[in-house]
Amino acid sequence: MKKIILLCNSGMSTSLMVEKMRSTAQADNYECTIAAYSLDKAAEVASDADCILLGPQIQFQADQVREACPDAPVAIIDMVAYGTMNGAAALDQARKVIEEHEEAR
Amino acid sequence: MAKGIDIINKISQWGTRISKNTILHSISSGIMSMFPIIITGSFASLLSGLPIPEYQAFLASCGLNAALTAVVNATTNMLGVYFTYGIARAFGKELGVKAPTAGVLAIVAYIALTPFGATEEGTAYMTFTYLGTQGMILGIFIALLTTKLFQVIVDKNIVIKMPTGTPDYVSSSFVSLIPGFAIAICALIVRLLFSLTPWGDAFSCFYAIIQMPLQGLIGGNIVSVIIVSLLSSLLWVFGIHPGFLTGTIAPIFFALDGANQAAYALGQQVPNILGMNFDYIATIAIAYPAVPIAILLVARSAQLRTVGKVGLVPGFFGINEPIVFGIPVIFNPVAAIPFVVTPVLNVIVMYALMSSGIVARCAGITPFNIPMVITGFLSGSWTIAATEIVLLIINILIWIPFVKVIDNGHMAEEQAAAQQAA
Repeated sequence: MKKIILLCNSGMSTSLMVEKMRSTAQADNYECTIAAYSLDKAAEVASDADCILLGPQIQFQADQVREACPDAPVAIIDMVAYGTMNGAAALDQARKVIEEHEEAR
Repeated sequence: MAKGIDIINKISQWGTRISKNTILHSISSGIMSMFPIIITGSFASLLSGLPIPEYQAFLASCGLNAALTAVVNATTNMLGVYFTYGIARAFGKELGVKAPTAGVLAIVAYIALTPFGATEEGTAYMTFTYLGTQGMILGIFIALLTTKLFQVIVDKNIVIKMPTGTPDYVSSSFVSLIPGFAIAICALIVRLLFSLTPWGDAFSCFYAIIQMPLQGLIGGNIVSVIIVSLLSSLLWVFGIHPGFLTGTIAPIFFALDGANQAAYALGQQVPNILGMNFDYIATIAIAYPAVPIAILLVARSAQLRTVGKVGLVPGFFGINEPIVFGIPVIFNPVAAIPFVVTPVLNVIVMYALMSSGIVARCAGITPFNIPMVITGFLSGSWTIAATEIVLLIINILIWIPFVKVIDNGHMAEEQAAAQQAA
């Protein structure tokens, strides 16, 4: 079971994405939990995540998240995928990040 | 493009610095943590102040008006106290102060500095004057200073040590004892000192020399509201969420709204035109949904139609990321023009209509993520709801030509891609 956490300023726009990603994951039979939170909850909720995805609007705060969750890989969701709320593309991105992170270990 | 990336890096560093500033962050997150109270209070004010004679007669006949006033007093008119607690807790978290008493001690200092009145028989009483948002600027200072003092004392290990074997929760309650005394003594001294000033007490002094000018400068002033709106739109254009900027101004906006709520609940003239309520309606509630509507009306390219469909419902609820990243607005001058212009236009038009008395002023509810028109009615008047609809139509009309230009670009790309595939 993989744990994917999405973060944005208040966890609202990412929660739209979460729904789309969940339905893609279900269709693909990919076992994971996906949830969205606000940025300042990062340390609390995401330090044991397999992948942290940030909304592109807070990419300037990526280092803050990396500091708060040093063990989890952090990536920024592709802008166009985010704008069109393309859950399949975002889930793809998350899976790639998780695979790369596991290989590197 | 290299120059663009240079600018974005500079803004990013600046944004990170502001959002990482522990004091500013504690203030805004401390205030935000009191959100349920702000919202409860704003609805109680609205229910108690609705200017419909039959409704007011009904409230009076069954005694509900007194009950509603009690709720307004317990929420809106105490926000200064609650904010102080919230900020002390948030700042304590940043400083690593674990004892929950730190937040309570901030309230102790707050009450200790509040001016008391006395009846003719000599019974002391407190008024709500400085317990609400009128006291919040001093409250912010109190929260930060008491928490800092608490941390210094505990860090220096000036605590009463209990013999080993004392149950943990007994000894932990003694940890707060010395900071408690220290904070009370400081509050006492400050109270005495301010009683010697012409203001008589610390709250009146801070309100007169800091809060009033700040409110006038930032919140009461249309020019600065326009500048804030311009800056937040421009930040979006650079792909940066402006939350750190608006969070910094939020305390002043909430103070203005709090004064409006208190007046509205009593059926008095609402004192402020501007505030969080006004700002949300003008810059978000109207301007956000206008974009997907304009897109769905005229766009033909697959990308824009997707963005329009995906962005429509969120737009009504104050979420614009699909628009910003989907059109995209980022680094796109054609989209940036209407994106920056429409909220500013709404601010100016609404301000003009309200200051001339044609449209009612906002009652000061907290409207976050509530769709337009509903926000208008919740703000206390159908005239605001009607203004929202008119401005929405104007915003859509402004967007349409720009959407067409952007759409033509996407169409050309999509056709080229299709031809290549064929």
